[in-house]
Amino acid sequence: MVDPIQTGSDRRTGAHHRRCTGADGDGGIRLGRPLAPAFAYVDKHPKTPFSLLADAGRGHFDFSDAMVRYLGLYIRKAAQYRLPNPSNQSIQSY
Amino acid sequence: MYSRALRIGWLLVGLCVAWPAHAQVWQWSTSVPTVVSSETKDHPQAFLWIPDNCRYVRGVVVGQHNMLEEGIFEHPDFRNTMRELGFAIVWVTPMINQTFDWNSTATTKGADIEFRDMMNRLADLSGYSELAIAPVVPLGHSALASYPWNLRPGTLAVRWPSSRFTATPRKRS
Repeated sequence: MVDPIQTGSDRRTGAHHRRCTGADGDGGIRLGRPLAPAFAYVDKHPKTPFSLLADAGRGHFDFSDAMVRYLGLYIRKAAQYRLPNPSNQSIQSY
Repeated sequence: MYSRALRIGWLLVGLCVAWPAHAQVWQWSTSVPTVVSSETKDHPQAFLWIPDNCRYVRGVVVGQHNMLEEGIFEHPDFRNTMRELGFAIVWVTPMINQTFDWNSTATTKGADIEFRDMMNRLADLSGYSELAIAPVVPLGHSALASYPWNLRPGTLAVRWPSSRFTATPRKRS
């Protein structure tokens, strides 16, 4: 797994797109189409925390330990910043 | 001849020893009667794992059967992280709704009805009643990556496509 990319102010631009797909040199066209809804969504919800990760060097039908750990890390961070503290869980409502 | 039989025997013993090490527990399962799969002509089966030390489910990761979801959900590192967070995992097979269109169509009752049916049944079955209202992290791969995008209504908290995965922790309405 290489080059996790956090989006910034340029996340809705073509520059970001090229950064995400440029690793294999020719991935822009093939990957750009599936990513289009992501950018459309960010356009519609600009305050959405948003990140892209290129798991370069692996196939579409497998996953690496590192990628699984990255998924876990992402969910951990989302829980940390978006959910109530566990100690208050019994009195919180969603 | 004896040597060959011995080798096969040891191979079988090895498989018996190694296989359980890769197996993962899903403590509960239920069918989802609101859905009839076009693949099996039967109701999908939903599987639930809750960490053994969990007193209250803080959130639930939900994935449908496409390709990589099951392997990720059974990965020891992923399970360990969910255990630390107090998160449950739900995996349903076959998928209940590919696009998660909340409106009913000719073939679906609408994702809202199907999803709530699944979660309510698992909440009742497990005794963890908070599952019915727990924040959801929908996770999908490839053709099933559209489903986290469409999981609504409610407040979208975080949206993340990674390669062709999406995972969207969000509050339940």
